[in-house]
Amino acid sequence: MKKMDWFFSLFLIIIGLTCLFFSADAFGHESFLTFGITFFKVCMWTACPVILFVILYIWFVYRRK
Amino acid sequence: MTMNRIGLKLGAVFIALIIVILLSLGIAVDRLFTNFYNEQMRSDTREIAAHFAAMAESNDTFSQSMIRAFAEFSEVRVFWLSADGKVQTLSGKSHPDRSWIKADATRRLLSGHPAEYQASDAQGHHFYVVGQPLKTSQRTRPAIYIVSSMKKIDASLQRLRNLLILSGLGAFLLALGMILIMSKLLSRPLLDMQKMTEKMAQGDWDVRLRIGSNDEIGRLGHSINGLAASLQRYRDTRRAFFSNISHELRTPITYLQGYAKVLSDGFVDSDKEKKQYLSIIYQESVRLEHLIRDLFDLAKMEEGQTTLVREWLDLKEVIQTAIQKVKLKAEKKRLSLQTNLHDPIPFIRGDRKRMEQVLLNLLDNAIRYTEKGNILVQLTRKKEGIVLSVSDTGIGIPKDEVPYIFDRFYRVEKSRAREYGGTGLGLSIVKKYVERQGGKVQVDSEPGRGTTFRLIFPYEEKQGQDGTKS
Repeated sequence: MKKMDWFFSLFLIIIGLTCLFFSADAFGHESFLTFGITFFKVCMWTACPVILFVILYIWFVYRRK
Repeated sequence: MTMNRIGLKLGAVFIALIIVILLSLGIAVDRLFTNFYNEQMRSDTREIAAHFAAMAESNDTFSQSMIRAFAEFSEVRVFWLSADGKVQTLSGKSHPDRSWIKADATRRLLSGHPAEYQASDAQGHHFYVVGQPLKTSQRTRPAIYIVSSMKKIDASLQRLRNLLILSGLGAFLLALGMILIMSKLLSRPLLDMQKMTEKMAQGDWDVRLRIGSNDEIGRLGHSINGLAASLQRYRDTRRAFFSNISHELRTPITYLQGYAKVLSDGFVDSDKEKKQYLSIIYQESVRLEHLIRDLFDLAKMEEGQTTLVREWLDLKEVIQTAIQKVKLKAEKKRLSLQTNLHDPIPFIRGDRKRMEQVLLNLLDNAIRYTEKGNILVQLTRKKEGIVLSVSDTGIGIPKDEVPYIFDRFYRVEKSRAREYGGTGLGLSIVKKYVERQGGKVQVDSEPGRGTTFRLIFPYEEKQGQDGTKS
């Protein structure tokens, strides 16, 4: 993939996430702080299974070797 | 930003899928919230209507002021329905806006049944209307209407819809970004394969794919690399073949031209010399004929055009026939041609003519490269099958050259190839014919001591090892 492709894709992802977090924080919570908190929560919820999966994968590959 | 076609197709499919899912989900969520709010509205308005009806049934002035106060407090409007079907305000005046009144609801109320419905006025405002009949002796005002405005609910729903659209757009953009990355990554190996096969089609067979996975695409990549390697090998062999064939054909033709020219120009001193030149021309023409015949046989074999006539063969008989044919040659070189055919050997399935040719090629080679000593043909039974061996006490083959002796035009003694004669194709033909008849060829050789070629044929399934056909 070229740099331009990565840039364009990441730009779309960031815009998409912003839209989602904005609508999630609507009804009286529209502040940068709540936006940041929601962003952090989502990142943590995404990161946890990813980290778990990576650890399991490394463990599985190590066992196979 | 470039988008290849397979990536575009993959992306389009995923995006279509995402749009369908988001639209369905959006409609479902919208209906869910609308129904929830409507239900809430209906329940609240019914409850208020029940309370107001109870208060109205007492029919005193205190109750009326209570109703007015509660109506203001609950943000609803209350109307009397008179016995003649007219709708009046609490103070008894006629209500000017009658757009929300439904005739069938009025009829139901006058007949003593409750009614409820959604209505809207000329300005497009929505109301929830509940009509409640009154259980009282007074017949002038038999029912009340409770009209609750849905303005706040409509505003909330509209805001919710806007937020739903925003989250849908966000989810769509998020998916689009991920799909772009995914379709690029998924289609990249296929595009690499397409580029490589294009290069292969243009004749560049040195290219190879870098394969990082072991799934179906990875295996396809391995197959393409294998195909490129095979084509490269084929091209190299073909080049070598054409180079060899042109050389092998040119040499006898040069001889023929040269000696024919000498004879035609009369540059000969004696009849003896003339005979000698004619003999060379004859030998070279015979050699040329053998070369062309061998080439033709090989070409036919490689194209799969040679059909073998397989029958039950007595190898001893084939050996005897071949020996008879080369006996004279061996005697000319004072070589002893011996056989050892004492073992009881079962018949094998094979082509008599081709088997004889195989044996003749081996015996020709043995005689050609043996100056003194003997040639031994043996037929024995071993565990792995029937072994036909041709051993000589000739010049032998160096170990590092053994793997190449079955290649076309390969010669061990390159400098003395013309002296020894032969086409350089005999062993290729031997190997191909033996393998096509289910056998294999093995070679043992020691330079200066001699060479043994072993042809191993497996026992036929329908025949026991005792040599009898079943």
